[in-house]
Amino acid sequence: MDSAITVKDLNVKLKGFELKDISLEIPRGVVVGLVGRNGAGKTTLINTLTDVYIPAAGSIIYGEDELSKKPEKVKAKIGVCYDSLFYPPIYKPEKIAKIIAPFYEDFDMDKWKSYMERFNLDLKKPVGQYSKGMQMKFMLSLIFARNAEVLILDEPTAGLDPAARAEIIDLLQEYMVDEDRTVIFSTHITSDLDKIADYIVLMENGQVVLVEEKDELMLNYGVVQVSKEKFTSEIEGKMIGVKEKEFGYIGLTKDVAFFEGRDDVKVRRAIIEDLLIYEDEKTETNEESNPYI
Amino acid sequence: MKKCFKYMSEYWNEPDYIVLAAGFVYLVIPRGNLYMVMALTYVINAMSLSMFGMGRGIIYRKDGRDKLTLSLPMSRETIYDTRMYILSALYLVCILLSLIAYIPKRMYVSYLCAVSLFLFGHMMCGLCIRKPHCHILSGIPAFIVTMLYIWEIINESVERSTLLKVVMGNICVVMLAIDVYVWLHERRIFINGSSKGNVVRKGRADEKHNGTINKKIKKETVITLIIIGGLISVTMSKDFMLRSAVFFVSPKSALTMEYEYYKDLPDSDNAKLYVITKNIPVEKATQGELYTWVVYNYGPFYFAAYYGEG
Repeated sequence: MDSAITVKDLNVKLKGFELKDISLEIPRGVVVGLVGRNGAGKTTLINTLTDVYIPAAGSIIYGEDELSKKPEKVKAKIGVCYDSLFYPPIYKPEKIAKIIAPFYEDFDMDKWKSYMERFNLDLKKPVGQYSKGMQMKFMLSLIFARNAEVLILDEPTAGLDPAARAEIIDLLQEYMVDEDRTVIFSTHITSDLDKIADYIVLMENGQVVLVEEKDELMLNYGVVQVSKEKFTSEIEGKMIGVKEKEFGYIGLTKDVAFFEGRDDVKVRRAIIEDLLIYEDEKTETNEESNPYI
Repeated sequence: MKKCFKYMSEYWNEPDYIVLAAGFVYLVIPRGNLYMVMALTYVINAMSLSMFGMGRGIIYRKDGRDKLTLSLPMSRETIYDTRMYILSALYLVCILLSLIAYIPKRMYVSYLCAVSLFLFGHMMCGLCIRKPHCHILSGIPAFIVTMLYIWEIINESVERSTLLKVVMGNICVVMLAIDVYVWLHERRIFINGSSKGNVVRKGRADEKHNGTINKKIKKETVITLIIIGGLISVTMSKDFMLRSAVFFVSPKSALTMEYEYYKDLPDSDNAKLYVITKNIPVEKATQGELYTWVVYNYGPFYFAAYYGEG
């Protein structure tokens, strides 16, 4: 499959935090969910993919074009949406659209206006006076008005009520009707990813610890509960992020088949949220110790 | 550069008009080299603003709002340099317009306008940027010179204020150098990153919350005061001040000239005339050689100016 984004050995240094040796290959036409706890490095990775941060080492390639070498070409085909408005809040939407439009050859003003109408956004109000959901829709309208191949979203549904979140997810699904488009979506609200994601990328401590198709993940991963008496070393070896509870132990397993049918354990299929809840604190990227590999 | 000019119109915004007006009126003050230095100071100040991306158009400071600018399909060089070219263009227009100022009747109106707009423009700039030494210091001598011209109008006094203007002009030159250095340094970091990694600057609200803003202001104030003190102290050297005054006519002469004491200035207790004997500066406009210079002494401070050959 054709790659939309290839990240090779990316290292990014910030004060007090680093992304270390990140390598990813994101195929075209998929929705990638980027998950991880607070401070895992999701926003840092997204900021690096969008050229806000300069990597200390490594490369980011969009299609065939490297971001550092052909930024104009790369940025013309990506659309970015952060968790908060990054346009001047005192400006009205049309003014912002007129500022942005000349930078993109394929920006269609009529298409943008039709999206604004569809989203019921008041053109006479400064964008700073919009609600959060409206601001998000406004930012998306500017992206949808042109043919961005890659859409990068950093927690776009954070702070939105369920109805607004559902609307945003529906918009993204509509966006993905074109199979050449790719979405990278970082979020804590994993239920959104349950609906839309094709791939899950799990980050911890500035490293990517897991890249897996969501369906495969859900097929193979499970949450296991076992009593203290029946918690053997064999079972422990098959579990990740084990937590001790009153009744016994609970944790994640990537080998749900091993536990199915057994009387000594209870097991259920995992959801994406469980990857964050049962995070293994000792996870490292080298294959010998990374329990997700 | 072509790409920068292509995007310039997109970056133009309302605050640009304010700066343009401030620059125009500020520069509509007549007379000579000193004001060209001031004009250049203003240009470099503006470049400093750009460097930190005062919230104009769609470029912001490095506190997260850079995200918008960096998301646009431009290289970092284009982003940075576009601001430079816009601001330089603004001030080239100001300088051209200042030629209009050579109409005596306009002088009084322009002084008052210049002071008010100058104060407004510099106040805005000083509030917005994070490194006041890049901007406010070069603004302070410019402000003092403007006040001195007003003093001159009120008191019909010429000599002392002229000398002080020369001093302040010298200070401006040094500040220009600092501004240019910081501009180039910041440009390098913006385009290539730094060995210390990406600097994530928090907004003022965050800094206020965690108490770092007061420390930062104190540190910046101390550095500023040290630099001002250093610069004022150079006015305590007669040789430096005389060479500085000559510098505006002929930089080469300023460095290589030799001079000797001529006599005390008549009707003055603290002014002495000096004659340049070697590498005499030549005024370009008239091709006249400027031999005789006056040096005033006020306490520990010296001020120099061309006296004339009459």
